[in-house]
Amino acid sequence: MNPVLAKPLHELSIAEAGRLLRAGMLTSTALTEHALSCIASLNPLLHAFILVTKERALADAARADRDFVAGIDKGPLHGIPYALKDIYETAGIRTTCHSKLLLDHVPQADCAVEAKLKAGGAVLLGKLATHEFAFGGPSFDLPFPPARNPWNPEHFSGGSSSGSGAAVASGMVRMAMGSDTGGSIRGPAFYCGIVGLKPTYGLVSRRGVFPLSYTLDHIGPLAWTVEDVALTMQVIAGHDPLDPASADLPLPDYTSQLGHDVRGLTLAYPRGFFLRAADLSSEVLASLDAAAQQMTELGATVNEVDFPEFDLFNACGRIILTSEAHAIHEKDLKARPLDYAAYTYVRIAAGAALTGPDLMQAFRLRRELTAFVNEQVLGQHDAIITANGLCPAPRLDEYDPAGLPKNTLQTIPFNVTGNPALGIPTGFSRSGLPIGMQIVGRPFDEVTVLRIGAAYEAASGVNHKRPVLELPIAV
Amino acid sequence: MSQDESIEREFDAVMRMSGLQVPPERRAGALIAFKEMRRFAALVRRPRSAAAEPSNTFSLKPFVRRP
Repeated sequence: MNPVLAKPLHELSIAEAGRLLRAGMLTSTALTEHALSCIASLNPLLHAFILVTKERALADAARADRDFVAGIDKGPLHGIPYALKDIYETAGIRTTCHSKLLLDHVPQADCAVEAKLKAGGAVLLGKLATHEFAFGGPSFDLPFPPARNPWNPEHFSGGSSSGSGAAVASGMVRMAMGSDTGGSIRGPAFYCGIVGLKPTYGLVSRRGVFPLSYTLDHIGPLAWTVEDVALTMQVIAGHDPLDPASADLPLPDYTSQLGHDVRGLTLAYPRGFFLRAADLSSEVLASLDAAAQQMTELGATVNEVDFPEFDLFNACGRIILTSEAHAIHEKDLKARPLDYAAYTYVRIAAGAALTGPDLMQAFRLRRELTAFVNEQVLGQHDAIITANGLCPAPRLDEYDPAGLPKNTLQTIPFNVTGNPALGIPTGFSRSGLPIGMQIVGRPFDEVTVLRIGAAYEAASGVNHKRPVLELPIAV
Repeated sequence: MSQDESIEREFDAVMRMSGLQVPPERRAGALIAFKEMRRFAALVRRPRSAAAEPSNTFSLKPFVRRP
């Protein structure tokens, strides 16, 4: 028997499900009904979805099934269920940003990515939990509860794409869209043991996705495998003249180098950079060293390099992020302060502390750091492998609502520089929580990043393990 | 005046000038975030020449008429 046919439907990758759909061995309706059943069983525990679009999903699926029978193929996501972080505008479907401020907001138009997914025949299951306005932290003073980690629901699922991470890792959906301004795709990928890509700044349109920071926001997918991330990029990447940051460049086939090995590639490994971090756990360090060793065994040349202090990248990114977010929220911060969660309010209000010269110095530093990463490091190397999170997911009750949410990610450097960065699992802590790393590439060289990720994934086999949740799944 | 009192006064003045009325139950958290921003602002000041341009230098390229 084909081993793919023996898998539960929620364990089929996009690639596997796509092959079965095209062979007439599976229907999109069956895939969608199974996903809806998983959501009904698991969401009361994990709070990943804040809105399930059941009728829309079943209608999309029925249309996809009719298309396949008629020989119409709209691409790699045709008939595949997906979900969107609730900052993605969806025509006629409530889009709240997980906030009381937008609780009744029903957009008139789809964001650019949703329009592409819809045109590609994908099946929208619903809208996912996020930190409020993709910022803040895991808050309990909002209209919806925070998402929980499928590997241990007492723990954080990462953020701000918290629902995206939890929904994919638990098998409710095989691809979810997130956004990443300081690590909000790669963080949930790390904490939930899945793959998440922050594409190069300007590669995927931000139009219609509620902004957090104009110059740091990146739009990208989370999925169980590198191949599924690559297949999603086939659909969502591309120039959008209505996004001022959108790059007008020819697009490659993002799947073209999956399955190629890493022989001949040179990788930078900034071990000293993350070794200096106070929160680095011994388990994460050991797993990063093992991953670097595995890359060497797979035929890559791995060189230790040094980086400027993390604090510099962090200060640069946080000043830009907070200034831009404050500008976006200025009116509501004044008029409706208590309608924000405490975390969101205090973090965005802090933008008042910053002056014009502060922001300009951050922009000048940004140019220096971007030049360092791309000339000094990626001028001599094909990619960088480095830390993502520094320690496994914290417990949700470790977050002090009167202070600031703790941040133990090393992701913001590549929001500052705009390079593509892939979060990929490397294993598990002794407590059973996932850990991982980042693979960072040259601007618009997602193909190499995905090639390295897929080679590592195949050799390490870490994505074969899935969380076991003690709840019945009806279908 | 201690350093803590000084920064609290600065915080209150900045928030007032910005038009933000920080709810009392959020003052402690907002003050922590404010101090963090002031620390970041000091970090990004480094020796560089006057000609070192920022990363978002104004460009008219997107508005050039294409044939």
